[in-house]
Amino acid sequence: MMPRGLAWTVAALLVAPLAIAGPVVSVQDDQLASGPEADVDHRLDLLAATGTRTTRVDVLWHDLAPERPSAPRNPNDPAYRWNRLDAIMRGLSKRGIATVIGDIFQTPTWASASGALNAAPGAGDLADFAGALAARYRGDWPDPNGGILPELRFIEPWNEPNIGRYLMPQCRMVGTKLRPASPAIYAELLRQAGAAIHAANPNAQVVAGSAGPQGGHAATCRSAGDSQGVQLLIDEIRARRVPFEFWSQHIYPIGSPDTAPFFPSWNTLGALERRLATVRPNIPILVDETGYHTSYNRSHRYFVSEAQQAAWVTTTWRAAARHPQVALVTWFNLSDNPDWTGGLLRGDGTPKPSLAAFRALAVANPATLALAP
Amino acid sequence: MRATGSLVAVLATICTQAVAATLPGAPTPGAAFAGPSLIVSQTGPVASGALHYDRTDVWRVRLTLGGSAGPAERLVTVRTSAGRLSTPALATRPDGAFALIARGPGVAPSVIWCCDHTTGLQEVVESDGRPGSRIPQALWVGDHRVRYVTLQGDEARLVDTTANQAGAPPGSPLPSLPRPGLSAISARAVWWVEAPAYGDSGVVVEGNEVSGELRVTRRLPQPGVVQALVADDEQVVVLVRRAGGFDVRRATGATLWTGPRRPLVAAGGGRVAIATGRTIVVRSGAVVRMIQTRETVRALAVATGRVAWVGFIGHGVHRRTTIHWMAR
Repeated sequence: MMPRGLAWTVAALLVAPLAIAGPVVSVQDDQLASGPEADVDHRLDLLAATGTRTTRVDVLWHDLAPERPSAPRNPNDPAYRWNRLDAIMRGLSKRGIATVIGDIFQTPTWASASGALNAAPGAGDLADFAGALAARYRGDWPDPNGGILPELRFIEPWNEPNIGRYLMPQCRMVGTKLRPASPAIYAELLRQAGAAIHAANPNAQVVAGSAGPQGGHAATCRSAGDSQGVQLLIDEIRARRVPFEFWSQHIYPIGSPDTAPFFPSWNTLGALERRLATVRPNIPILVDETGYHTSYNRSHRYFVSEAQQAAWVTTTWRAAARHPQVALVTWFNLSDNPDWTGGLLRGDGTPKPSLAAFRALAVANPATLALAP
Repeated sequence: MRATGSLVAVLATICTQAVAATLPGAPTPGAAFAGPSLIVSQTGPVASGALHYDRTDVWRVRLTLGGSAGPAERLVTVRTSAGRLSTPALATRPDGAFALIARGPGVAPSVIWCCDHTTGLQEVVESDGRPGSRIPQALWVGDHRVRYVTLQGDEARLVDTTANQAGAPPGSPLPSLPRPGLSAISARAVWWVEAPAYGDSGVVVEGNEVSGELRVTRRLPQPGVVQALVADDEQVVVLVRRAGGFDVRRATGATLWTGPRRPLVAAGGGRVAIATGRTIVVRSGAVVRMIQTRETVRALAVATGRVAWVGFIGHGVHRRTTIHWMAR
């Protein structure tokens, strides 16, 4: 027999309106950009079946520009390989997912000093690519298949620059001490890429930060690994007066959305809001990665049960709704893979209980992302 | 308690052992030698305000004759709110690599191999959050190779895979079903106590691969109910409950220890270590060595010529885990 308290909770969940006045409901499928190209249509169908009308797409620079373009700001330069991204953008639009956030990362070999995907590129090279991307997807570019390519209005010029897995170096030796390097590197990438995006599409919105879920305080750079605080990123961007429209923060709480005490979590978002206020008041925040894993993996060492994950989908949006600055929450990821078990679908494609919870939330909250005020 | 068998020598060592390393807190520990290093696990609940979860940390402590060769390295951390974590099963290699099974009631089980020599990266061999997923039991680790027994409903399998293979294979079926927690594995064989529908709680079954399939090759009757099985590549050791107490014995026959309290048992390099309270008995062939420790032994490891134990010191928030070891 179900305990009485639990029965009441279940009953309340069944009748409670899921419409939450607050952030846009969104989910990302990283397999769109990194899975087999032949699967793109199938992945788009899976994404559409979640009920989402907004999504985030990885813009893998390494794949889109495998060779150095001779006219890098021109989207028609033959070095660019837009076919896959065109198909993704076209397919999303066709399925009613018209609002897309594109996050650029993965340095092409020709732009990488070390040859690694996470090597910091030259800011000019990134700006050229970001400009070409913004031009091609500004909403009036001819589609090679006929018609017009959809608009990619929200662009993040890098992913998780405060984590070495995505941007190196994080630190540099200054005298005898390691000092943070990535905040300054990222701020310059953002400055030049943001200017190129705005020049190519004045309606485009530059999303800064894309900050990984790691630490809120100044780092000591005790090792050459990940060490940068989110606050250092903000401080460097403020010091250089880099313009941007949105701030992106990734949140993977340890504990429920209501109780997790560490930064960054829903309970500590106030610290981020206060720091952002030193740049300008009320900067809208996109939490364009969040989620809970349902088994151990080496990307995130905290996990919950599938039932907890489902319950915490809704709790996450309610926690986010307590922060008026949070404009969007994106569940990451649609599907499990060996390095990521936070999907709404298992690795074998079967749905977890969280898929139904997410879908109910998405259908009840169809609003999409508006331009920054 | 008493060590049994014909004794060539009995050596007593009184507690003057220095602490080789300390770890924070005093969660439930586990230990195993991996060549010159000791692998130590700590498992327990964590509470921070309204936040509660369970956590397992696995550390590597490099041992030298003078103590430890530097600070303990925390190599694996498993955190979950899905349920209570149990002490992980550990399997080790002489080069310092190890594998573990992280598990607990209601917790998605995982098999983790650690770590790549150049990148330091671990490999998650198996991790399955589906309700009713198979539960890894005993495991053995070779050079990038992991073998483990899984239980799922009324099916048991032996999985043999490489650490970096994408997705664990289904494995080959065991001829009968082990009782949960009562299996052991080595490079060449698998031992288990059969579930009630299959066999007696006082019989250890040995399974070996014959013509490509795992078959029962021996049934080894014990003098009581088997409560634990541990194995290395040279032996399988059982803890048996019988009227009036416990026996520790080789499954093939020789009784090594007998006493009224349930002891901790470790096996490695053909040695067996048995601890109750602050007394450790190490059996190496017919040689018996006794060690009196300062602290109650909470975890135990043994290998050729070495024994290590884990204890606690301090009180309240100042409680810490201490690691001791002795070479012979």
